[in-house]
Amino acid sequence: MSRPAITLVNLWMTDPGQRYMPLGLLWLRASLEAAGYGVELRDLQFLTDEEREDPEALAARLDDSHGILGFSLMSNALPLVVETVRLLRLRRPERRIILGGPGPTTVARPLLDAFDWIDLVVRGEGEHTIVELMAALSSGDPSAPRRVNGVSGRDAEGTFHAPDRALVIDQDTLPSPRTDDLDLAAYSVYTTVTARGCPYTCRFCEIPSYESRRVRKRSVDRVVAELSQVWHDRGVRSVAFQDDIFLLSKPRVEAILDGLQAAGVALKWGGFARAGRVDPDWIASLSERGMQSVAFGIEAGSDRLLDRISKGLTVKKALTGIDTAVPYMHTRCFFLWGFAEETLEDFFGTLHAAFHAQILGAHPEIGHVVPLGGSPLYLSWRDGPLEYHPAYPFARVIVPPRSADLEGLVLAAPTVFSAHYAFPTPDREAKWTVAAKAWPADRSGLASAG
Amino acid sequence: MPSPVLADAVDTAAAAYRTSLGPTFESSAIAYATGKAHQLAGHPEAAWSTWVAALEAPSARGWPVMMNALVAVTLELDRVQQTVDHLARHADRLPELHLWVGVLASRVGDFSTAEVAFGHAEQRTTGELRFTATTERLQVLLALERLSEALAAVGTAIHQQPQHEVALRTSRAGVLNRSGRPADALTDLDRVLSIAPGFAPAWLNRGSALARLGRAKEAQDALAKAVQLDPTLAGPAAALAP
Repeated sequence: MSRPAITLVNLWMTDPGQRYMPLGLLWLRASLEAAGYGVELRDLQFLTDEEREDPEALAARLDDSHGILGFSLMSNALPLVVETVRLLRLRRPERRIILGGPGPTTVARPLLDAFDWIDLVVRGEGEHTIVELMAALSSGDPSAPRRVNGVSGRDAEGTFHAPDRALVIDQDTLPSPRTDDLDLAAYSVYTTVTARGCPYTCRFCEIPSYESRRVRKRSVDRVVAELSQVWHDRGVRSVAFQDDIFLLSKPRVEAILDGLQAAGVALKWGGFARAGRVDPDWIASLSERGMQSVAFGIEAGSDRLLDRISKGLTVKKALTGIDTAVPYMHTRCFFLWGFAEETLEDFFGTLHAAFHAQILGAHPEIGHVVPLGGSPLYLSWRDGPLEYHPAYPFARVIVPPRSADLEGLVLAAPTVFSAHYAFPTPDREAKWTVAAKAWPADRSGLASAG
Repeated sequence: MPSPVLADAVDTAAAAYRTSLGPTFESSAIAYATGKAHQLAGHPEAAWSTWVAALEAPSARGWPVMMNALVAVTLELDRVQQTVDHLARHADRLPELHLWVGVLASRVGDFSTAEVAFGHAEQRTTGELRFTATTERLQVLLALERLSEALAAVGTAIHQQPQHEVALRTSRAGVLNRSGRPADALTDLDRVLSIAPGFAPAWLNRGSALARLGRAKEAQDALAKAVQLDPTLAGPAAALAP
């Protein structure tokens, strides 16, 4: 019997105008293809906003997919995908549909409890899980998915949650993604990940809940080989390292850069760093070695609040880091407001830090904190219901539901769609009035420089 | 109605922020942030006061971002003369402030004061600020119809930042046309269009120069080219048509 094929669907919905390579799906595809499965990749981020955010249109577009369909998504797209799956079920009841990625991973239990048309969720790192799940789905045994670690689902016996899958410690054991069929010029920048996981404990962030705090690295040789290949064969000249913190280990970054240099690869590049750990001499050196941009998560402008969210950063360290980086490279810094413990003074402290960063020459962006399903801040939340404020246009990663149907889903299942809600925060209206002026609806950055 | 609660919160936040940072950072940079917070909280007067007071600090800088914000709030509050007085008081120490004296003066139509201020800024600043002073002074000289001085100013600007040659030579061609020197304008425009053949304003000025030289057909062609490249130039092109 021939192996079944799967259609993998990407619905990136974050930065208007930006188009990012579907890295998660490319990694899944590599593992599936190595195991002999046919994979069709559909990158739907190139649709118009209207079509991409219309479940009817998406369901119609996916009508001719393979018999197994996989969506990879973040929390922001969860209402859209849940509704799209419902419509697909009506059109194609026989189709097996798998949700995966950060969005469904952290809310798999309430997701299956709330929506009986969702029947398979891959939790966490998916490369091994999806391969085993494909085998289970083609085995003829309807209970086989229950025995695949990392899968939550529903079958005739009810819902199930198989044990978590062990993380892939040696990332080099995973087949490398291929990009030969991608039009790389269509994406904003070539992106890659050299390591998974973040060692920090920021309480608003859910990354450690599915990637762990243990940083699991690809070998330097693998990273250099990938970038060398796209430099020589695809004409790639710049890369955005999408590691949670790329400038985490100086020896490792230097080794990657040494490898690239030895391979004759002179990429321009950028990545995330910790503002509190910016070494002036190193940042100067990195700018000479192609680093053109850095991004810092600062979050708040008061030491009290930074401490409450376990950021591991002080205002002084944050601004010192920004001031150090600005002369050498494009420096983005991200701030959040709307924390439950954020006083009005904390809020204005955050504005101080953002505008201070701006006058130093950095590019600050202010967003609204959201209760991500796997974040410690949400998981420890015991102080009453979350709030729903669909009028806020500036929660950077959240696209408000575009229709009454989608909004109905969000309202019906706050534990599934917590990322579309807000923590109660003191003086919300006053903060909102100010933030709306500082953060215009076009999401292009802080309001005019003056 | 401005909220005193918000104003108090901004002041409290500012004090805490300064304490957190210690003496590491230049105080007028932090004052910019405090003023922006006041402005966003609905207190433009407090923003204005914060920014003009910031200039008193011995280590203050005339940060362009802050000065542009000060200009905006000054115009909003109709406090041009007060702001000019503050800026002038510190301009010996912070010569970049001359630039914003000029900006404010030109915004209220006092071109003579603006021209003098931009002249001071041009002589006493460097780099981008100096270039800005030169180009701002150019605009003021044009408003004053002092065309020969405007020609000198645009020549200076080209010398300062030759990377802006296309736009500046096109501007100079416009001044030459207005000065009755269309043949000289064409020399500049030939150079511009050899570098940037798709630069619509250059075709517009070329049409004007050719019309002044009595070369009607060529003028019409150049004006049509300008409109083809940039349809928003249809109005000016019609006005210049021979």
